Order: sequence, then C-alpha cells, then structure tokens
Amino acid sequence: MSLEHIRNFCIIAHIDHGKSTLADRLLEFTGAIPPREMRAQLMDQMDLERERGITIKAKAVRFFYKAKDGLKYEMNLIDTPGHVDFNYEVSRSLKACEGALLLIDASQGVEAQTLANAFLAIDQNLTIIPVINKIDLPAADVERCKKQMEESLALPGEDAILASAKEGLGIEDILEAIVKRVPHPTGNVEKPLKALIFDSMYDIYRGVMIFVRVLDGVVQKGTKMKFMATGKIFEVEEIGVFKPKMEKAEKLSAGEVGYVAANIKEVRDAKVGDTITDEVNPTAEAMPGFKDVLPMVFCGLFPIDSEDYDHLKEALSKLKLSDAALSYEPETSVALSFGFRCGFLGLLHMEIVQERLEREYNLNLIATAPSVVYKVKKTDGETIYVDNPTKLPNLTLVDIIEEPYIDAKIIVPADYIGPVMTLCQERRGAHKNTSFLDTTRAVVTYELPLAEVVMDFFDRLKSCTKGYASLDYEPIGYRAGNIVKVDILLNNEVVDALSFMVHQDKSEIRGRGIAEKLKEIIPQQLFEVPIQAAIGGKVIARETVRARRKDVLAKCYGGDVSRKRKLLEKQKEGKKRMKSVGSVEIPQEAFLAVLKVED
Amino acid sequence: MNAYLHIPFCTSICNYCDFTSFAGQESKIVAYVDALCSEIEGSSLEGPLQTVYFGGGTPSLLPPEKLEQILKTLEGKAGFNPSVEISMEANPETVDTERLKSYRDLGVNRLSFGAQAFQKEILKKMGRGHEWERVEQATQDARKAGFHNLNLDLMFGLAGQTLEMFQESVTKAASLKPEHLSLYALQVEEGTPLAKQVAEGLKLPSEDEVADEYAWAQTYLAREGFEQYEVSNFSKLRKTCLHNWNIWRGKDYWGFGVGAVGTVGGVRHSHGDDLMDYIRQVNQGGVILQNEFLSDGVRAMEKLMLGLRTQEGVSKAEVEQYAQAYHLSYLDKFNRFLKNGFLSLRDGQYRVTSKGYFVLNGLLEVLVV
Repeated sequence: MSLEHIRNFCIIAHIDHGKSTLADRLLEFTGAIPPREMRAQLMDQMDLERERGITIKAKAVRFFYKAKDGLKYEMNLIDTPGHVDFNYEVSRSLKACEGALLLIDASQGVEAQTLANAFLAIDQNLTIIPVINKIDLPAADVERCKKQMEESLALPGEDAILASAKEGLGIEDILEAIVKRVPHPTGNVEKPLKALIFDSMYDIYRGVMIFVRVLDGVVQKGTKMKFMATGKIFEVEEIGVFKPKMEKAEKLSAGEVGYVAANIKEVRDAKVGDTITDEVNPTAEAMPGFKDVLPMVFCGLFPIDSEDYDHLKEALSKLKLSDAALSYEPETSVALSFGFRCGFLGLLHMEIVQERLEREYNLNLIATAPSVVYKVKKTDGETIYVDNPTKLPNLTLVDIIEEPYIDAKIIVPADYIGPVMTLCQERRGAHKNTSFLDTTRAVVTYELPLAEVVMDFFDRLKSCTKGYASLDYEPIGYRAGNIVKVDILLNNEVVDALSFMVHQDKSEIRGRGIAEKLKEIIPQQLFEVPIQAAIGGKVIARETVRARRKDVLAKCYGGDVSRKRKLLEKQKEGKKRMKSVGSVEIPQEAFLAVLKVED
Repeated sequence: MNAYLHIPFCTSICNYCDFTSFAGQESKIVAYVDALCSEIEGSSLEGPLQTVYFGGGTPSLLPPEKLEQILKTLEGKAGFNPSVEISMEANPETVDTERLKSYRDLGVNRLSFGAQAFQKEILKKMGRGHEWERVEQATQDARKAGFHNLNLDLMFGLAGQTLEMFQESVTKAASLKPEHLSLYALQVEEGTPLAKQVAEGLKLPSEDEVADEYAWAQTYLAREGFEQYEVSNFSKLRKTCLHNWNIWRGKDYWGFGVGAVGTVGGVRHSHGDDLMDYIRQVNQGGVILQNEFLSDGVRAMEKLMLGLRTQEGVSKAEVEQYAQAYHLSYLDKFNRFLKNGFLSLRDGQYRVTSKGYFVLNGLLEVLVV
C-alpha cells in the first residue's frame, strides 16, 4: 500500500469518555470484525482494564476502510493509555501517529486528562479531530463542549464531529475525517531502517513482541536489528499486524505500523521510545525524546503468608515481562519478613500491579505506605536517592533532603474550587493559577509535593468534590523540603515496616494517627506496651496498650485435657501468623489497618 | 491407678453446663449403674486404686445401694489402696444426714458441694435448684456424717454478680470451714442456654471485674489459711483433691460411664455422650471407646500445660524433655517470665506465681509449641 493510502491515528480521551467503545465501533463498521464476534471493548485485553474502564497497555490494530472517494485506506489505530501514570507511554504512542481523535464526553465536557492528552498531541504536531461523544445522553451539552474546546484548547468548535459510539452515530463521519484531515505518513523505504518502539508485550511463544512505527526503510524477517538506546542486537524472526487477530506479514515498510518478534527475552531490552535500525546499514540518528521510565512511587509488598514469598517473586517476574515500568528488589523487614520493594510509575500503576498480583496470582499481600523517591544530599557531597525510609542515612550525615514536586491540573465545577484549594493547601500546595473552561468549570493548577499526592489525595479530591474533579499531573523536579523520618516504636523497638518520611509539619499528626490506630488494634499482651512515634530520639506521640489483666481462668478436669491442649495449639497457630516486634505480638491486621491510616 | 466415674443424672440442667448430663432420666439409674459396672468388669483396669472420683451430673442422686454396687465392683476388679481417696460431687439439695452417712459408710471420704453463690437471685439465674441455707445444712450434715474433707464450689464472673456479691459468697463459704474451696470463673460454652442468652445480649462482668474478683479471692483466702495449689483450687492443711492432682501430674486414670474420659499408657479413651447408646453398647458386648494416641511430644506438652496449673509446677528436667521433643529453645522464654514475675524457680521447679495465674493461658501460649 502506498503511503498516500495509510492513516496512522490514535484516540485520546479522559477515562470513561468512550474510547474503547469507539475503537470497537470503528472495527465493526469497517468489517474488521463481524458484529456477532464483537466482544465488548476488544482492545482492552485484561479483565482488570475492562473493569476499570481504562487501557493499560497500548496496542495497534490495522483495518481497511473504503472511503467515499472510492479508495481503500489502511488505517492503523494505535490505542493509548489514558492515565497520568503512563504519560510517557502516551507520548510515545502519539509519536507513531499523524492524527488523533480527541474524544470528549458530551455530558462531562473537557476533563483533566482530555487537556493533558490534547496538549501532548498538539506538542507532537498531530492533527486533532475533536469528537464529541455520547450525544445521545439526556445530559449531553454539545455547545458547552465546543465552548470548552475553544477556550481551553483553541480548537474550533465547528471542527468537532458529533457521535455516539454506543449508538453507532457519526462513525462514518469520523472515518471520513481521518482520511481527509489526517496527513498520510511520510518516509523513505530506500533509506536505512529507522523505527520507533511505541509499545511492547510479552508472548509466551514469541518472547517480547515490540510494536513499531517504521519511519524509514523496511524491517523484515532476518533483519539484524539494533536497539539504538540499549545497543542490543536481535535477528527478526517474525513480523505482523493485528487485524485485530494476529497475522504474519512479509515486512513493514516506512509509514507502517506492526509488531516485530525477535526472540527477545527481557522487556527491558526493548524499551518503549527506543529506535531500532538495521545493524548492517544503520540510520544516522535515533528518534529524539527517548528516556528511561523511572518509577516515581515505591512501596514494599510482603506476602501475608511468608511461605508465599517464592510465589510472589515468580509473579513479579512474570508481570515484569510485560511491564517494563515495574521495578522490584528483595526487601527484608523485621516486622513483615521477606518481600519486595517495588517501584511504580504512579499510584494507579501501583494499584493495578497489586490487584493483578492478588487476583491473577492469588496472593495475599501487605503493602507498606507508598513513598516517593527523595533526593538526599549528604554532608560529604554525595547525592543519593532514597526510595525506602529505612535507607535514609543517619541524620548527622544528611545535609539537604529534596522531594519531588508535580504540577497538578485539577478540573472542577466552579462550586468546588474552594474545597479543592483547601485540600491542596493542606497538602502543602502552591497555587499557580485558576482559569475557567467556561462559566461553570475551572482548571485549578497547583504545585504539590508528590508525597502529598501518593497518600490518599485522589480519594480526598473525589470526596470533597462529590466525584466531579479530575486530575492530571506531571513531575517538575526536586525541591528542598523539611523532611523528617518518623519511626514507630513498640516496646521501645522500631517497627521498620511502619517508618515513614514526611514533612516536619505533618509528622506529629501522622505519627499520632498511627500510634492511636495501633493502640486500638494491638491485642493486650502479658505486659504493658508503649507505642511511640519518634523523630530520631525525640518522641512526638505516645500511647500505651495496657497489660492483659486476665485470660481464661476456667477449670480443667480430666475430660478436658485434650480439648484444652487443642485450644492452646489453635491459639498458638494463630500466634504464628502474628509478627513479633520487641516481643510484642502484632496481628497482620494491625499492619493493614495502620498502613491505611489517613492523615 | 485412678478412676473417674461419670454419673450423668441431674434434676435440672444449669444454664452454663456443658457436661454430659440428663434431667428427668432418674428412672434409668438402675440400668445405667448395671452398665457402668459391666464396663468396669470388662475393662483391663488394674489396681490398687489410689483415687476414685464420682463426677457428674449429680452423683448424689445415686441411691446408696447403687453406689455400693459400683464401689463393690471396683473393689472386686482392682482393689483399693488403704489410703484411697473416694470423692463425690453432690448438690446440696439432694442430700441429708442419713444419705451422707450411708455414703460415708460405703467409703466415700471427700465431698464436693456445688454451692456456687450466696445470693438467691444469682442462683436462680444460673438455673441452680438450691438456696444458700441448703449449703449450710448440707455442710453440717456432712460433718455429722463424719466427713473431714469437704469442698465447696463457687463461681465468679456470673451474670448480675458484683464484686461485693462474690465477696459475700466467699466469706459465707469460708465461714462454713470447708477444707477446700474451688473458685471457677464462668466460661460460656458453646451450645449452652447461657451462650444463647449471651448472644442475645446478656451482659457478663467485664474482664477487669472478673480479674478483681480473682485477685480479691487470692488475698482473702490466703489470709484465711487457704493455699492456692491450682488455678481454681484452694485448700487448707494440704487437703487437696488427690484425684485431680494426679490428673494434673499426668498420672494414668480410667474413665467409666457415658461422657467419661481417661488416659492410660499414653492412650486417651473417651465415651460418647448418648446415655441410651452407652447402655446398649455395654449390654451388647462392650462399650465403643474413641482412642487418641498421645505422642511423646504431646505428653510432654500436656505435662507442661497441666503441671504449670499447679503449685507443684514442672521440673527443669520435664521442660528440657519437652523442649527436646520439639527442638525448642525454651530458656529465654522461661527467663523472661521469671523476670516479669509470672514464674518462679525454686528447687529446680518452675511454678506459676499468683500473678501468673491470671494470664496462665497467655503464658502457655508462649511456652508451648
């Protein structure tokens, strides 16, 4: 197919604005899938994604469309993740396209991720086709959407296509617009191979499959391809496309999109954003903009049953195969024994991984409080990054601690600006700007420490705006802060799993919260148990669990011995599931409850 | 050897009771005693018997001639040690001087009266069939009948019972000059009417109140010359219950009768709890016992669990034996409790202190496997 007849596009939208449904309709309308074979939202492969209405990993699907001009076009739909945690992946997916459908829910209007994604697409010089979706809903307000588009994105309202993916309205208009408005790809098949990796997945038979957009040249079976960032070389074994079923192809040429399999064992050898070329005849320059995705949020994951450690290890290594952004390394905790310190792109990513581990691998896990990565400048001039409070050097060796900040855009109905600002203020935010999308909706921009957002910011934001707020953020680097490490001591011994780093101003309230919660949950022991929250040697909160006064004083006669013994064995069995710190027996629930503590 | 005989008949069932007992089945006493005697005859019981214990139920519902039948059977089968202790549980309302005299003449030398509480309203709530006057009367009758070893059972932690009420009960009981007092903390057992009442909202005294009652009793009884020799048992002048003590020491004992349990040679045998089934089985050639084989480890563990209930305690050697069976390091745990005052160590014996009794269960949890 000549380049003139190829269109590479994606759909960008806020969560739940109907992206997957639209993708399904496009495939259905063009006959890529017969309607009876349609499974709802085919492009979301994992149950979890379907349940949450979000797409975790981008995929590319090829279909053909016979346009009104009588010509047949090859359409490559590149799906993009919709969430803030996956910003970098979104930007790579956009790089593989010439155009983007910007989907806006007619009843919701422009939301935070609509803006974030639209700006990303504009930055990449993509042609944007606004689509106002769900116009069949009673609450649809097309005019308002158009106005918001114009004011916040400077996109002409009259460019918008009105559609209802659910009802199949406007689908042909969209396809026509893609053909007419989106430029065809450019590139030269004669030039050396240059292709962008915009996604990857793991297949048990083929190893890592990379999704590429070929910019120049041709990739085919036998090509010795070189990954320009990692320097690794693999021989191409298979090439193909998803239509949406996987289909082998002879080659992929400049302008085309498809997958490449080369018996790559590890996802980290094929990084999203990297450029591949032909080792024999390499291109001069890689695509700009490649970066290593670094985890932003960390937490410890420990199996509740310590015997599950190996199982957890295996599960993580399997997830890692298809999720290059996930990092993990073994962690040992006195309180929680053996587990892993895991790094995630963001909160959603963390939640998804935890849920997959629990659901797909049947693991029961305890997660420690999420932590960000602090930049610690030591007195000897060395700078280290600390993703785990237990790794913070002794304070006498610490000069400055810096914490990551984000630029957060929150879109809310005007009525809720007050509560949102109060929340951001509480979270040490610095107000940057408030602008209006229209008379009823505002974009509130704050600079916030990421640490304040990883705790329970989303939940609080949702609850203080009755669920109307939407949030998008991007990291804006490190800033010095008055960060302290708070230890929780039981019976004068530090419970390592409960240590946390926090801004000085928040230390007492959080320390007290945890101490109070522990007091409620720790069963009375044979002796009095002091609970303390402390910064270094200074106690900032203290509670006491009273000693148990009595337990069963029942009689014991001859007929009772076996029963008594079995009862004791059962109690002991229960004890074994408890963790012992400072000779205090702590039930697992205590950790779970405390780690959920709200500040 | 020791023998426990279960007499499962009661005139009424107390609301907290989960022992094998039947109300209104007194017409079956004759058949039951016959069955009990055949069970004894058919068993491999070997004497001489050091202790015999009639528990229930209400053993004092046994007419003297039935008791005689049982004792004769035991004597014929195994013989009695000259200093045999023959204990019998009795409800105060079921006895008079004459009956007690007959029991005494048949060889019973220790009586244990279920007194439970002084207050009428408390007794009524428990479902007991007596009032305190009957306790006083029964005690006097027992003395007249020649008993020199009397126990009164009292309970605490009962619904509606205050510390003052319990103090009154203990004081009144002590004034009757028994050689022995058993103070049992109420335990709500599954399936009892009491458990149902509690589930429906019946309030029981708090842990603190119960602990206060226990603490008060320990002090008061010590002053009155009673020695606490077990979690729930106090005796004067070493008049302990030898039968129970032998069980706590891990000595062998036979159990006979419906619901009875015994342990002989590392095998624990128990009977079902169906009265008619029991009689039928015996008549059809022999009672079917459930056997539990106790491993060395389990026996060592029970030794610890039971030994620590008593003032005899457990010897260092016994602890070591136990630790070896389970490959445990025990010393640090024992030392910790010594330091905390829950245990004492004298003459190579570990003993639970009066303070330790409050949390014996918690201590055992730590000390055993």
